[in-house]
Amino acid sequence: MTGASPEAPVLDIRDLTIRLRGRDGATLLQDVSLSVAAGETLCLVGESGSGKSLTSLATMGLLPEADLEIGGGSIRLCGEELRGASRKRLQALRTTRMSMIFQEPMTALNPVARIGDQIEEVLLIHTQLGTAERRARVLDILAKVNLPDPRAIMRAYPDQLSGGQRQRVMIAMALVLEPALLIADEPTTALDVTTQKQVLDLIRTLQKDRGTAILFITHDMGVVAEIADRVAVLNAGAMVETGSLQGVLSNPTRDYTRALLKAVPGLEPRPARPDTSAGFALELDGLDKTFGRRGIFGRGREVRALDDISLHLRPGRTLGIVGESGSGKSTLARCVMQLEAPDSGVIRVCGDHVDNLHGASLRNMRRRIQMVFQDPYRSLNPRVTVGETIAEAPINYGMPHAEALALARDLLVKVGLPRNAADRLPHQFSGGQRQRIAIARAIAVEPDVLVADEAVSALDVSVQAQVLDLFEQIQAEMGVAILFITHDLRVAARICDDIAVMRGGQLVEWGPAAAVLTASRQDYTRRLLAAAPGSHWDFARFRPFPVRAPDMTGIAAPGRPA
Amino acid sequence: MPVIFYVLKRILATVPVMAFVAIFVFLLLRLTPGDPAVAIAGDQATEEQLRQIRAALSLDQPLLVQFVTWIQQIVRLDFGKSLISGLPVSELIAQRLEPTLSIALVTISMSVLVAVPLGVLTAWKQGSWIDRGAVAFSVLGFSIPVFVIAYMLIQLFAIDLRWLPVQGFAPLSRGLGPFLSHAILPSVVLSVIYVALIARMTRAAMLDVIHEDFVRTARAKGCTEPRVLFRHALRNAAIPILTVVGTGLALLISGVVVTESVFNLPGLGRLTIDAVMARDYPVIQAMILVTSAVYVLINLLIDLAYSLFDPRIKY
Amino acid sequence: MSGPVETALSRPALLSVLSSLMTGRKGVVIGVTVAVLFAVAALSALAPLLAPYDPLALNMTARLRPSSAEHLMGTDAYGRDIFSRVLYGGRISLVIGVGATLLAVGTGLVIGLVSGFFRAADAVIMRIMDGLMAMPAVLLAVAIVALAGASVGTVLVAITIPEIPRVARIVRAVILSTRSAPFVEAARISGTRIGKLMWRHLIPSTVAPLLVQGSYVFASAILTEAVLSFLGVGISPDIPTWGNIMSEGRMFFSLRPGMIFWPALILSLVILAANMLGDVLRDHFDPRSKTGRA
Repeated sequence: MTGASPEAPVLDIRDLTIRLRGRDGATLLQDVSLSVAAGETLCLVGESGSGKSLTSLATMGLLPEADLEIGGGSIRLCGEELRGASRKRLQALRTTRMSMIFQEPMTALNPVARIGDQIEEVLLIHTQLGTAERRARVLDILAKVNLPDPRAIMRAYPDQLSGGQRQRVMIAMALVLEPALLIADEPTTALDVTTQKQVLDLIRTLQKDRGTAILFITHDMGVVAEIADRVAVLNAGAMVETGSLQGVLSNPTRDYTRALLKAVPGLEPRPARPDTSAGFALELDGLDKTFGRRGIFGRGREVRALDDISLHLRPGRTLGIVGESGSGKSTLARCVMQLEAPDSGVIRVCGDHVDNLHGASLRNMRRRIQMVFQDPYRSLNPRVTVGETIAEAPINYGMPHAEALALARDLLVKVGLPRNAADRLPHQFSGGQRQRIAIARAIAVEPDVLVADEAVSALDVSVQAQVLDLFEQIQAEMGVAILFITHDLRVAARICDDIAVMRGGQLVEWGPAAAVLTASRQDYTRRLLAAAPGSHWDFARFRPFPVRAPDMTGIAAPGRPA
Repeated sequence: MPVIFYVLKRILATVPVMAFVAIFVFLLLRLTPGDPAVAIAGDQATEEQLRQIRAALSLDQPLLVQFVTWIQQIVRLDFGKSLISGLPVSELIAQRLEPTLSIALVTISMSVLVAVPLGVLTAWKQGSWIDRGAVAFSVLGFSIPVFVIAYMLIQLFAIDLRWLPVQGFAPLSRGLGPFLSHAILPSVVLSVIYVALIARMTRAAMLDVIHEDFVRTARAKGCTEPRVLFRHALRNAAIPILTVVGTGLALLISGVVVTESVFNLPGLGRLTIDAVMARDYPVIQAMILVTSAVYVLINLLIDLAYSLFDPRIKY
Repeated sequence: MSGPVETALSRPALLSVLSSLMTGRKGVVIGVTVAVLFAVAALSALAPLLAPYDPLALNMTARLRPSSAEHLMGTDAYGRDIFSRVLYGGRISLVIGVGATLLAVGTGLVIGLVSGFFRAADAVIMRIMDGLMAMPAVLLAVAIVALAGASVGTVLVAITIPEIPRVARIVRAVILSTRSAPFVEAARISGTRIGKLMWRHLIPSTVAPLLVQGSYVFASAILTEAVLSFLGVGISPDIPTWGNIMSEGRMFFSLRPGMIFWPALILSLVILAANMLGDVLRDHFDPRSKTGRA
């Protein structure tokens, strides 16, 4: 932590106001002030629409000028006023004094240019270095962000790298000229937890070496607890509160902050429910699925998406399938739903075979397993009213139209929406409301099993909590078994009785949630848990978790739960 | 080796397309209601004339035999003889190739040079007056028939201003000056619709990529706007633009037929229309086959060129 | 009709589409273009009432007259009134335009649906469509007309065939991208049979692109008809069509350019209206062009 004193912050934003252009331009950001000192990380936290990304884009001078304008306030970078600075001056400051990395590493790099050229371009624009020097600098920074074999990476195109590697490349590009300020806009949101941890560690290490000031934008309280020195909470375009990390997490002064923190599920497993039923709602036995693309001239690449997966689930209970991307958890859901055909293995619902069915028997099976999809914006037909959407399945199974519509209205009430929602179209509802509609649709035919594929991942954390409550309530009323697929250990801890951990198509571990989350003996599960950001902090109670000694008693043997 | 496999695969993929065109052209004559010989010779034809036509086109043999002989000839680039002049069709085509090829090449190069920068500019300045003007021009270009544009330009440049000849063609062998003065009007006429097409697609493709994350990254790096547009955005927008240059060829060929007719150019378009007037079917079918083959070939080349622009397309 | 049919494009959906279309600059463009098309259609339909002269009546004493109060657009080489001929010619153009649009959209929709939904048929169908696209539209039409004779029906078919692959490709692309959409999978999970799935969840998403493409096909068909007539290989020169009038004007172009420019003006206006209608509809329906403005 060298350089500037607290009196001279690297970034100093005062009373920043951003408006939509036009006569009745709505204010999107109102009088926001914040500052970041050298070597410090300020986490800017907020839900979608809070204005946190606008703040960062305004600093970089990257606001879409056609639609938005800065209505007031000042943005100072190392003492220099950026508001009203010329385009040329802003271009000169970018990557030399301020840099930015973005959320989506998959799309943030130019797909048709080599990695080396993309980093070198920064040096080409901003320095007078010769070709050889530039190349040397690129190799050097690639090594500093811990990318293996920098020479090979230089020649690679973005699609040849993983998400984590691309984000490292973005960091290399942002930091190659050692800027005073780094703005990181949700840089790890699109990454798996283990990769996220590595990238966060990298950012922290580089910051220590260089004394970079970091404005870190995130919606994830876990990440905040990992990386922030200070925290600023934004809501609906206004600053709610700012303070030290410790202060905000343990002693939030505003109701909004308290509510936000309370909605964060802890990593504490829920108390398991009594296991009453004798039979199984869902049984999977030896499921295999291999995806292979075989071209005409061979060279097929095969991916083992499911490798001998056997699981079962009792009525009224929830089994969580947890894993990182590529673990096969979504393929599992699609196979259970018969949207993909497994290569081999058996699926039984309440004891009846459901795999390899066609025609009428497939249709009859389908009413016994229903699904809630991840993306609430794409899982409802935009042209069909909510009532008709919910009534579709009952009608398909022979219910008269009027009766099915009446049922749809009852179901809407059940999921916490007004009866007249049935007459409206999906675009009139928010993401959380749509997910409620999707749940109503899924339970309309009273299925035995409900599959939820990342059903709350696209939602803000406060909405997420409400939808999770709804799942529990529905389950309590109907006794449905839920297969809950998620990448988020906190969500799994919050809702699941049992948890199965998957990796690379294989079942790593399967047991009661308490055993898996607190006393796993599987190396991979432990790594996942260790990587979960903020796992030491109990957000909902505003305090750290009591330090736990590794609990080795009462562990179920890996494999089947007791 | 994989490169060759890929090229081979693409070439093989054109075979069914060309086969369909060949069968279509073949059946067009044979399945036309009534006697094909009468369709060609007209109602007043004598029995002797009909017999000659039937013999020339082997219409007196079973359909399958006709097809096999016909395909064998086509593969050897033997399109038969003209029913009117008696000359081999391939020779007729060769004679008429130069004017058409000259006009087409001048048109394509001129169009791409104008349309691509125009498209980039309009996408960048979306909603501005330049953009609106260019969009209006492109809609107009699609809406006014080629021959009307031709007559408007003839009226202005050849009749009122007397800068350029009204019609006709001068081969390059007569010197660059005469060649250009004859080629310029037809090429400008033809390029109106081509420019409209390419500029429109460039604009749309640029608008698609200009809001992508990597363009924002380029700006965040401190790239100047021209660099952002041409080095980062345009290269990513190249494939749809290339594609429309290829598929627009069909429009261009149709336009050539009209333009040659208006400017009285002794090219392939003129040959086709004369053949249609005279019901010279061997020439008509050869022209359809040849233009389709050119279309398929150029689109094949463009397909192969995609990988130059996008490394994600792998051989 | 029963439930699913009514709700394929249910009333609230249709209303919200229409009401959002009718606002702002888009509304103005749509209003003007539709008004132009209806005006031309009405003038042509009422040609027998409106035309001051018989379009076929020869008058050797009034040949090649310029525009005047008597002959709004002048007369042709046989002394026929060009204004009357243009009014009657509109009937042919509009019949060809509407006919080709309905035929091409109908056929293309069926081919695209089959191709997009049944993978087995897809490869064969798309190669055939590629083949049709490879043949330049004017050449293909010219060949068909040359062989089958120059009736309105033949010209209609000849103009429609090259338009079909474009429609089919668009429908296929929409079906392919929609059939894997979560809401379609959700419908399959709900036990929806294939017919209802298509009608309720897949076909409605083709309506918007087909409206757009339909406007383009309409414009292109009228243009191609005019080109064919102009080249002298379209509808028989005995029948007044815009293309035929212009074709006759070629000989006298330097003397009476109006013989080409008057019909060209009306023709271009109609095609322009149809193209602009297509563009506005495309801007409205294509979500990307919306994000393009954000």
